Amino acid sequence: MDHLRIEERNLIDRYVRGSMPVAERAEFEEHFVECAACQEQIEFARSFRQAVRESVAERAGSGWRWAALAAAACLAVALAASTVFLLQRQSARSELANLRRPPVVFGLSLSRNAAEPQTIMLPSEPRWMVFVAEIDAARYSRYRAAVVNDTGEELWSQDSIQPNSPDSISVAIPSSRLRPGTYALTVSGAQADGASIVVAHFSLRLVASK
Amino acid sequence: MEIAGSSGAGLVARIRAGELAAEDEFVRCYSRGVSIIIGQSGADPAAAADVYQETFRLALVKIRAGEVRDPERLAGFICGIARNLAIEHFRSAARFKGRHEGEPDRQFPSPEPSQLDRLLRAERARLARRVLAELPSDRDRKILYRFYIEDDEKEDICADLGIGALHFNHLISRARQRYRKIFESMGEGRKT
Repeated sequence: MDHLRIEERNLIDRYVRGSMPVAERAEFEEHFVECAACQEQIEFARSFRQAVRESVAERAGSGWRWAALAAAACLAVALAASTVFLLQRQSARSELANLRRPPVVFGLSLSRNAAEPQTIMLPSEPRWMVFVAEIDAARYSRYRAAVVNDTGEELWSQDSIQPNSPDSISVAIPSSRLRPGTYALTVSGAQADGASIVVAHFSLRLVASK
Repeated sequence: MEIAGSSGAGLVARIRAGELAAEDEFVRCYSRGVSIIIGQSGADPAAAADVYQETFRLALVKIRAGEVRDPERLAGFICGIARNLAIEHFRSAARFKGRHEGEPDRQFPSPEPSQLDRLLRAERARLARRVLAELPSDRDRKILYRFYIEDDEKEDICADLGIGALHFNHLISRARQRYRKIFESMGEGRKT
């Protein structure tokens, strides 16, 4: 394996993202385990990727945590049936143009979701939609979330989501990736071998804003 | 990186001959790479350290016992051990937690980051924001956002935004190099 091929095929970033086929990953690992230059690039790529994600999470983090706490408090007195709490909070100034609008936050609970899909109104303009999913988040260190339509097609997914508490994870989805319809938001625990185990499944009914 | 002047077969032969210096050389040469492989599994630092130790312990046991089928591919041999032990660790941890769930006197490592971890994360995030702010255009920021936040594939990003693969590679590489430069300059106490 030569460095030209590594550069052309973006192997460094694909390895860090965990999006390489098993055979290619093994071949790449056998190369970089003896290559100091590649090791250094991987370490910085991993650090930079994590840093970019953390910078985005931190910007809206205080708002999202406040929303999650408020949602949890409301849940204690809420009645049964599907309930969605829409909480908005001004986010700090963002370097990324499509994050300048404040995110919208939704609480997802397995007990409430079991009866029928939760109705979610899509924002009229592109912005973050943050789903705070109440799950047992202590079993795995990383999670994968995916939005699947009723034909099984995956519309959106994200890997390497870290829990924000032992009993919840936050899933941030750009609203531009979603369309009105009925979907499933699945949360899977990531195993070391690359496989994942579904730990939660939320039914969502997305409707267009009026 | 040469293996300190020794080929894989040479190191295996020296270890089998009982040369302790060769064992030290083996660990030194593969330490960083093995750490990266184990780190990719997402294990917490304590677990990663355990898997790391076990990887080299097991590798040396097998080398001494003549169980390396192809000494020239020593790199592949150690990679395979590291990957398999990381997988096995995850499975064992999941089984252990499942067996002892609900026992009030059991203590499991908290998934919450430590205070130091939070400080490091905040610092990394600050550096990343600086790198993002220094990019010349919103389109460049959008490219990084799609690649690092939405995990979109390079080909899709290039097709959607009408950019070439070279431009994409150059942007990613430039952003990472800038991040690295700022990161390293902070460690040396210099401002850039």
